[in-house]
Amino acid sequence: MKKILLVSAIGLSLSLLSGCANKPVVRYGDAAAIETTDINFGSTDLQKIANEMTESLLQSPVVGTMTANKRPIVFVDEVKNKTSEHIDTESLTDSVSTQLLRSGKFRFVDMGKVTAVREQLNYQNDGGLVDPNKAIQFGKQVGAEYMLYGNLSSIVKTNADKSDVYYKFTMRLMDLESGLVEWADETEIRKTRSKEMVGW
Amino acid sequence: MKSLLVCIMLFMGYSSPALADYQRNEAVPVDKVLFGKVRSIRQITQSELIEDRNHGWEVFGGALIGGTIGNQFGSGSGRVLTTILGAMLGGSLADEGKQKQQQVTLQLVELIVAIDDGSEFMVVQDFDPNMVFHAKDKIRMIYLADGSVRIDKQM
Repeated sequence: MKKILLVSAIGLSLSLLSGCANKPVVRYGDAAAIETTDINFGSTDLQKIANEMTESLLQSPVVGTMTANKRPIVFVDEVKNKTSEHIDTESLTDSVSTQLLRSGKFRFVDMGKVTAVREQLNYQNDGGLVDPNKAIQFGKQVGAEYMLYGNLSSIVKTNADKSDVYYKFTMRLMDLESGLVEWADETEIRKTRSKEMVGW
Repeated sequence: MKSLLVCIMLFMGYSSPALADYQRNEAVPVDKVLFGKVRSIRQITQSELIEDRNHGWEVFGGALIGGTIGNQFGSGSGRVLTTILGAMLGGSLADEGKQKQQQVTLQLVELIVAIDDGSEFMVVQDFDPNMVFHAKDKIRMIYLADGSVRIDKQM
């Protein structure tokens, strides 16, 4: 009887112990929380760059004059990524353009959707299925007046105890008619990883 | 036992495809970055013979089996002798088997890229299933500080 009790006690404790083993847990977190998983380009860097660039652009006196009586039409060119990392720079420009659109001061044309728009207009005008009087006509779109573009570069230094990454993001707004750069700004990020003694 | 043998045989004759062993999301020093497009692409494979040096267990297993067989023969000191002889024979047979080399197939991709300034380059790099290139893809040609060159997609 004692043996049975002993065996069942061991079995129970083993099953309890296995219940304490590592299990994947899913939690929702704050999307704007500072992320320091590693030294590479992360969500905090993307948010910092997008927020600072948008703020700087909207507060610029030149842009204030530009947007005083009208909403200029802007197209966003790609950001040149000159770092070693594969960074989704489209996500960066999406964040900037979305925040600018939400400010209500600018309007945007999306060059990434030109092929899809052309296919749709071809369907409406040549497909024979859409009422020709209601089909969207070719040649009615408005062209962009300004181009927004940028560069992202990094300097990385590493030794046995320390890693240092410096990111510099530059953004410019060019008047397509005159070729003048109406606004430019840059933001810097420095991230350092070093070995630290873990204390209580 | 049979399944164990099959597993061992599979392990011994295993020819593994080697894939990209670099991280694209790692911040490392860069000398310069050029921008351009993929002109043409070709998947190539390269076979390499690598001498397999990890076979201590095979020799031990051979000696063990040889010793067990040798132990079946003779009696008294004769049995000890046959056991030792069997172990030596089994061990040496397994050791001979180890001499064969392991073949590793490298999956590579040969890219001809046209840089925006008009120059063209041919780059051969490891195939990365997470970044498959197609003709006309916009690319970045990254000159890393360690002297190597890598092609990445722009987006």
